[in-house]
Amino acid sequence: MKRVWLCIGILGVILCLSAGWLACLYDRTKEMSRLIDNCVTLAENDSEDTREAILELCDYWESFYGIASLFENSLALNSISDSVSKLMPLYEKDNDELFSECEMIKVACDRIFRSNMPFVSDAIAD
Amino acid sequence: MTVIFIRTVLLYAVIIFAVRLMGKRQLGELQPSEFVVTILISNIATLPIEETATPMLLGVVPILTIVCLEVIISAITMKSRKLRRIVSGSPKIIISDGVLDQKQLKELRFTADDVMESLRSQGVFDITEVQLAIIETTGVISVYKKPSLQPITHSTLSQPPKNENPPQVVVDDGDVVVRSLTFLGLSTEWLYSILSEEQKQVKDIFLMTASENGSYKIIEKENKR
Repeated sequence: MKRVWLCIGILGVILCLSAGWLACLYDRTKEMSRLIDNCVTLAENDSEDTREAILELCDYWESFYGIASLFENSLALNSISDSVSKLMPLYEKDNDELFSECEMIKVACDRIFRSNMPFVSDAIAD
Repeated sequence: MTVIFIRTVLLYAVIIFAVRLMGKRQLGELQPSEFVVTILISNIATLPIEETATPMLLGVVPILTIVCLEVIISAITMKSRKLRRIVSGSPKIIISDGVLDQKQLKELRFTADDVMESLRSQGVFDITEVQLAIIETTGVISVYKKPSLQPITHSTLSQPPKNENPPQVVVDDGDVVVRSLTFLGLSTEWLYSILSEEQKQVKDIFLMTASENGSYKIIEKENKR
């Protein structure tokens, strides 16, 4: 019977961890989305604060990556890291690709969140 | 390389823990569900070892989930004979008094060669020597030779044995096994009359075996003593 209780405990920990990660992912994705929108708005208005906003986004992604790499396939995360690292050079060159990169990061973050949502249709499709 | 080495060591530790968690039952003959668990674990464990892009947790979580579910389901099946039959199946008699049950063999998709091979591995070369052969839920064939062909023991010296079937389980953890009673040519009325003579109730019995000649052995549940 000890084993059964241990197993119930382990399953409980796994369920809590899953729920916790989902809640964390929801918050982080939302914050990433807000930071990206902020960067895009500032860049569109040629604001001087754009650089700081991009730096803030980069820093936030660094911390997000640290946690996400424990739960997510690093290939998906690395592609976002690549896009995030391109933002500053694109801004400095005043390149319009900055906006498309921002959109790509947003979509990729959203995709990671959606792939973690326990929808039956997604579970079967994946 | 170092990463793969560390991941392998960690997963090795997780799998050892998982197998220990399943208990000794899983280390012997495998039941169908245990067989599935073993295959799944061996497949899942290779993914995070080979794919360094996959986080360790994605390998550890399914392994622990499968093992925990297996332990919980086996604990539930201990309480329910019906569920046990659904999950693990039930033993089937394929030879009775030297006669092969062809219908049962077809249903189990066993060929005569499979049966003969198994009999030979147990030192039986003539099917007529078999009193009873049962395919267990693990797929192993258990053979009971006719008592007259079994080696002489002190107890058989004075009285030559009759060719009878071995004792069958008629009460299993508080459940009456009607199939065994029918096989022995006994009835539930006989069972209840014995229990009333012994002043016992079915729910208090852990194991009761009976033979064709009406002899029986009762083992009560420990917490009832």
